[in-house]
Amino acid sequence: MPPRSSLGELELVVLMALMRAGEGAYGAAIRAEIATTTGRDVTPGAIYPTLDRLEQRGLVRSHIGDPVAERGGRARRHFVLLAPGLTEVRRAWRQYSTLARGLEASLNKGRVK
Amino acid sequence: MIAWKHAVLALLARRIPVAYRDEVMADLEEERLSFLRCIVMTWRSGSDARQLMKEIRMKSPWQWSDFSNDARAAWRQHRAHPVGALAIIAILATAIGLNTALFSMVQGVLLQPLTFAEPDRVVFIWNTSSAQPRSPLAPARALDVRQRASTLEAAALIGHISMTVTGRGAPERWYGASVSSSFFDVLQAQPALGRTFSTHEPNRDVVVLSHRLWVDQFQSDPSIIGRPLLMNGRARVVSGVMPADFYWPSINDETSAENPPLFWTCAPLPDVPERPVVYDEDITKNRQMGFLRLVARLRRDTPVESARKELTALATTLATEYPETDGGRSLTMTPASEQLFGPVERPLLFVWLASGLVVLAACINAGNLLLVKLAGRRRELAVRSALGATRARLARQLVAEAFVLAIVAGVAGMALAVAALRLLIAITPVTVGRLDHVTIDGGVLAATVVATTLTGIVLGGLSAAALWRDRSADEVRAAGTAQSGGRRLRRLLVATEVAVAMMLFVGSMLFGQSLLRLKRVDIGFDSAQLLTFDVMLTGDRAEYQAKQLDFFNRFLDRVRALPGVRHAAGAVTLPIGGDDFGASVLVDGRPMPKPGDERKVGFQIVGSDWFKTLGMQLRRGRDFAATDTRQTAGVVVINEALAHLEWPDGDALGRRLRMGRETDATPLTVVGIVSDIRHLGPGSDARPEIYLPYGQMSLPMMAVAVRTAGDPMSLVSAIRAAAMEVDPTQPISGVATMDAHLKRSYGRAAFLSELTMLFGALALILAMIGVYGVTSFAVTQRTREFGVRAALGATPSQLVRTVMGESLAPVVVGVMAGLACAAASAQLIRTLLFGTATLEMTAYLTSAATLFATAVLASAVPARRAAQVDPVRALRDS
Repeated sequence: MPPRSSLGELELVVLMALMRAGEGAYGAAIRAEIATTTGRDVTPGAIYPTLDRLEQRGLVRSHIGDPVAERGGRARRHFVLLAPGLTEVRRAWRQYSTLARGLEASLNKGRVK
Repeated sequence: MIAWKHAVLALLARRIPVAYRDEVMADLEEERLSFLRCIVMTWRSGSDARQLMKEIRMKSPWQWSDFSNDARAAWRQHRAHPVGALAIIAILATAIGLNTALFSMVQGVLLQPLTFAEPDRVVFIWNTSSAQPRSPLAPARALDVRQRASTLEAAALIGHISMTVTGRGAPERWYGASVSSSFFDVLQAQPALGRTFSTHEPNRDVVVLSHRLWVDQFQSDPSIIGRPLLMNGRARVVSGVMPADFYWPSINDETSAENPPLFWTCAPLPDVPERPVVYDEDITKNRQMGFLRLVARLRRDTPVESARKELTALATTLATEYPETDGGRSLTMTPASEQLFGPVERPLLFVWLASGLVVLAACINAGNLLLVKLAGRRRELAVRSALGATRARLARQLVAEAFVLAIVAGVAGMALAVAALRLLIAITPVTVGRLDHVTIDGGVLAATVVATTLTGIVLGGLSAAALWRDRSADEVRAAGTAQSGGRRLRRLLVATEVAVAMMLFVGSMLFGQSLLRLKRVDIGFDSAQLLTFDVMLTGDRAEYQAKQLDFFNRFLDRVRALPGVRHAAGAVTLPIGGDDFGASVLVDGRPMPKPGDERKVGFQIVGSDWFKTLGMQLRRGRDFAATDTRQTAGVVVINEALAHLEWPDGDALGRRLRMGRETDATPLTVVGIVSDIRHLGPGSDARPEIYLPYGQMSLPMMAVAVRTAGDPMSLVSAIRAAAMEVDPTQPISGVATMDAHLKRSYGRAAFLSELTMLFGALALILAMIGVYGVTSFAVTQRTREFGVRAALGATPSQLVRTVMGESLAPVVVGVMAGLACAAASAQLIRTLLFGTATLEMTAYLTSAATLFATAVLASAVPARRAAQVDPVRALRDS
């Protein structure tokens, strides 16, 4: 049995989106990444508490960037995935793949609408 | 965007918790959504954020997983900010290590119970007089005490003796004790092997070995029991071996663990211990030869006080019965714990107390650093609080963080303690007993765990308390650069730390000065390149008297002929490191003083060249000559101290004195006056002394001093060979340079000085870290303020002055408080100092100056940062 992941579903989504968006991604970019890959419209109101909690748990780290004109002169908060965060994602991923083992035939068959 | 749209959005944004409001709205603006979509997203963001925060809040019941999560989060928090965490761990580990090591030492040496039954009932009995508070008893008097004192259940007499052991390769001399057959019964001490003495059928031909002798000389061979040993030419059967933890030092006025008895022989009938010198007379009638220590067991339920009263009454009775010998003195009683540990108790407890101060300073420092660390995380904590974490939840996290630090520090401290204990034992004077049993045992380990846990609780509580004072998390968030509320607390902590450092520093200065003065004392002779050792002749009196002079003369002639030897001479005992022989003298033609009021002098018997070998000055008259023999008139050389006391204006030369109180004793004519030496060591003043020539009075023991041209120790084998040539049964023993004896006499002063210096240095470093930390933090916090000031025209030096003035204020308070505390507590160490007043001004001023200068340096570095603040950047960043 793989080690248990303590990530919630939304937390996993956010972390993976952060990985896709790359180092230093900020809130809106993560949100956009989630939207384009999963079609889910997660609000910033859900993103920030989640990221905060992840930071609190030491899975990500954030830093404030320079002020940006398009944000009305406000600074962006950039996020970086930390090693423990990557471990957690790997654990979750391993759980899903273990769960999917033997179901490949039915899972890969047909088209997803 | 039009103003009314802004207003609508701003109104809707109020649904979003304040912690995320700005961030969320900025994101939405950046995405350039349509107004309608913006409204929807704002509304949904508010709902989502509230929902998420509620979920986090719901998860409050405490679970183990919470704790491990807390611990892991704490670990990550520390790893993310390692500098502060490492500093705290290093400080705490030092404190724990130091305290554990010293506690182990105190525990092993002082607190561990003695290994005989009911040690509280064991007492030592001494003669006492105004001149000598504790001196040994003469045989007849000791026997009287044993017979007549009804408060004593049993008592045993102890005489220290060394014996030459032959028949096992090269002859050796072992130091031991001749004791009454009841000795082990009085102590109720059991042997590890075999048995001790029988009180019913005392057998003077048995010997009990100490554990150390058994291990060193007999490789712990259990079959040693029943085997004979040839001691002083007499076969004695080994009847038992004492256990390793049977602590029995050589019993003296000031007991020292150095040179403990290695064996115990049973006193010959009638139960009076043997003397090194065999006399023809019936020793049990002797009331003058004080060489016996008396150990006794009080009857059950007899308080020490009533036993002491009985002894005093008995002493009065004896003084009326034997006014000539027992007058002018009384009897005193010392409980075993005081007799065995009294001399080390005070220094050791003092050292422990001093280490306690270092630990206190360290804890303060760690707390201070934690507060500084916490203040830097206010924003993060505010965010978490806004996220819905309760105060209790945050406090728990902080306690967990402090605990993680305390646990890591505890483990590191344990390792440090092992190393520190090894160092500590190495520098502890050999006079401290039971050092070989000092280990970090279960009790000490438990104490460390408790100390660590307490530290964790205190540190965590400190953090949590600081958190509690933040009334509203939002408020904190709003005041991103706020003046922190912990400022006053931090300044108080710095002042305390400085005060502690000050106390330790003053202490180390006093001890350092004391040691320096001790080392500068003129002992009256030259200790450099002086080799010393003992020779002891055995056999009965007639035998040794006939051969001893001959032996000593032939032996010393051979030694003097060795290349590299400049002078060599013998005396009955060595100054510093040797025995202390006393006598009383009467000056011819003066009225007989009351018993006990005779002139007490140090007593030496010396061979030719003794004064020259030691480098003493002959002030007047002559040295002894080969013509001073038993056949010629008795002569004596006195020292300046005695000449000055007895003949302050007149000439001592040609005057006559007698030893003891018998008027028929041989008169001795003063033929010379020599310079004073400090026979008892640099810490004791020179006393009046008399010197008699070996040619007229000889004892079978001789201490030899050899003045060498080169390294004294290189001559040892040649000297051993010389002794063997003259008499193959005579070993030389106690080989050491006079410098080594001298160094040992500094032992306690050096120990105290080294340790307090170490503690003072640690406390100074801690105080420096404290001052630096607080100043540095203040500068960081007030960057914006300094920017404004700089923009308004404040010069860099003005800014530096502002910062330093503020950080040095608590230092000044601390220095003052420390001075006062040091002066108040210096009384505690008064008896441990030599020639140094407790209120030595230079020590106090130097300490204050050093601490202040260090604090100036420690605050100057961060203060320079304040001066270099760029106004533009400072204002923009904040």
